[in-house]
Amino acid sequence: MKQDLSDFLPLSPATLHILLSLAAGDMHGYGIMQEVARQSEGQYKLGPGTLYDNLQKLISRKLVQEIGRRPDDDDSRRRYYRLSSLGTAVLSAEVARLDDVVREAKLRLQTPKPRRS
Amino acid sequence: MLRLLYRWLLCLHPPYFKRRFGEEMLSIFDLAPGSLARTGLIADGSFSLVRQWLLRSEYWEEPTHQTASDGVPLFYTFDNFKPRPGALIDGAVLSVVMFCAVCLAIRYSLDHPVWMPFPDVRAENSLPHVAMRNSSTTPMNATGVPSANGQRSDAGAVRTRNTFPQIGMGKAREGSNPRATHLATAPDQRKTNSLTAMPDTGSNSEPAGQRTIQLPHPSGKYGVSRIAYDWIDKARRENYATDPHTRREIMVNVWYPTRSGSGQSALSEYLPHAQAIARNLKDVPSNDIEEAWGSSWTTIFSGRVLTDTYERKPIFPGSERFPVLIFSPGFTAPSTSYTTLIEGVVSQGYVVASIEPTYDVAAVAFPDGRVIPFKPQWQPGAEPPPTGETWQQFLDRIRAFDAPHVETWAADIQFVIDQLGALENSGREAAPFAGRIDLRNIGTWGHSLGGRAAVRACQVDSRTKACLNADGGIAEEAGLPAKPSMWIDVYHEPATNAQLAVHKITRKEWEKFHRAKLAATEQRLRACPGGCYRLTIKIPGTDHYSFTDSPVLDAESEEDLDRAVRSLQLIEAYTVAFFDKQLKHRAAPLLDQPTSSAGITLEKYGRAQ
Repeated sequence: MKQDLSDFLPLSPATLHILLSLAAGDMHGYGIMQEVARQSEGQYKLGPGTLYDNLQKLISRKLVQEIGRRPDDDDSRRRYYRLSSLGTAVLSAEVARLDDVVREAKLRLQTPKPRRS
Repeated sequence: MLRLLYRWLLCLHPPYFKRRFGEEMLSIFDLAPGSLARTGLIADGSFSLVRQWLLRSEYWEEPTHQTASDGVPLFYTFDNFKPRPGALIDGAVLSVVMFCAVCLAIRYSLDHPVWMPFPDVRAENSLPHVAMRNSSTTPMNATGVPSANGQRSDAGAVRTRNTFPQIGMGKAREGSNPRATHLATAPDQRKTNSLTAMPDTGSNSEPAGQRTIQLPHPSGKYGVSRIAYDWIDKARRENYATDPHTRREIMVNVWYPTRSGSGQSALSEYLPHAQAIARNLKDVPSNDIEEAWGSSWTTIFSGRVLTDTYERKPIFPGSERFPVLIFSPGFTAPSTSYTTLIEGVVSQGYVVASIEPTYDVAAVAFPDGRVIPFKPQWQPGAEPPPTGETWQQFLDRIRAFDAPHVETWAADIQFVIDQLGALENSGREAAPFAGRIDLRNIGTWGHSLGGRAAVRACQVDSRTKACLNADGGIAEEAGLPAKPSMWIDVYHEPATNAQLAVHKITRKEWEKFHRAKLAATEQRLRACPGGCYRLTIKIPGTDHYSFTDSPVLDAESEEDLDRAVRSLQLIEAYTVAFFDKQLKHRAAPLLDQPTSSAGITLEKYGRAQ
């Protein structure tokens, strides 16, 4: 099944951060929250309400899979989530898009320096 | 505690979300350090709750991806469906919230009949024809009826039942749309009404207006007699007259105790010179007459209202001097339309001088045959107000209209006191009460605008001892007398939606005005220098007109009549108790302890305590 990835783009900040976190490996919800905080150096904080709202959406759109509980976890209530291949593709497409945006932005911002008179 | 709250928040989430993520979210909550972080999580949970319910309806239920192998979708049935306990709790919470919201909203409903005392706005605001404009529809044949329940022998011991019938709140008589009520009642219909309402009165075959109505008999030990005076005050010019040399002329009825029983004297006319007044009205459309004089006008003008008052009988024998009350009626009402109440008071040993304020009364006849009809060019509320007039401007307009009337009427009262003093030395022929009135104990008493005039006269005239204002409200600009006063207030209809619409004011804003007014009144009464009593009557059917004979004359049923008579008894009992205490220096048990029962509240302020 071939899906047009541009349907998913651009990603909202929350989605982007969640997918980025999961790109590093399978993770439970709390792990994602901490990873997001680390990635953004504490600037972007994701509450559980927003997190699970997004996870719900991502799962239903098949960007993320739920892989259930792990026996080795201290807290048996936690479930783990994994980036699906579709999720990886969407994330790559988003990163490429952002890359273009960043390049464009840098070009624009290279204005001549004002001369002192 | 916070954890419990959070759990509860999670429980309220849509079922699918809760099942999938609830435990995990709780585990995250358990890891949160400190109560600040936990509070943050609760806020987050609340937002999430709203978001999931309002914006994520597609996720409320578990997605069903199952399809049968042959491609035909599976159908779910709701057999054996049982709501989860959580759903029941959700439902309960939602119901309670909705219930409370509806209860709060009811107050602001446009048509809700708020049961609200309205003591300090005179009813004339919307009812230019006080007392006489009473829109009950069927003149009642009451011949002999009051003898059954109109004996007011127990007026001193007022019975206040809790079982007053809750009929109509006087809606039929309220002033907001009297014309409609009048027009809706055709003469033949009246007859039918009276046939059904009064099956046992025996004279139903008489056409409406040809009935004879006996007013309730007075309760006291004295009989009642009356003498009329035509007095001209040379010191004052008549403001209404075009000729600046015209002096103020008023008719005054002096009612005094006499020996009960008929003797040689004739009963007096209910409305003095009724025929002359009727002749004067012959070109006026009957609808207008009915609006001004009430639905029993034909009975009144044909002299078929019977009273217990005699004409010019000798005063009750003996040497006792009777205290004097000067009575002022409501705007447009002849003082004789208070006959029941005045007779009741006189029968308990008072002399009452009742004033017809010329030009401000519906019509007054003088002994020489002149009839002076109602004159004021403008009455508050009678005409459409100026466009764009605010509520405050409306109130100001009424006040501006009232103030000079109160002054004129108060001056009338003082003039009557002068005249009574002058009569003291005249012969018994000119004044049957000469030498028998107690001019050191004078009280002023009035209804509606007349109530305000009574307070004003009491404030400015040192010869007066006390005053009673029957449902006249407090004049905002005038002070209160440094003498004992009594205020009898009854229930008033709130402003009508039409009034609110005209003045572009919402019900809520009106209520704010109203509450401010009540508070101001309360404050003024508290500061009343002479001390005062306030009786508030909130009994269904007791309204601004309950002081007059109109509810008796216009009663449509035995029940109406019974209520009318009982309201009058109640008012009379408190009126007499107040004046007995102030002018006869007698004990007044009725006033001694504050009452609050069965719709009657008695409050005492200042020195009255």
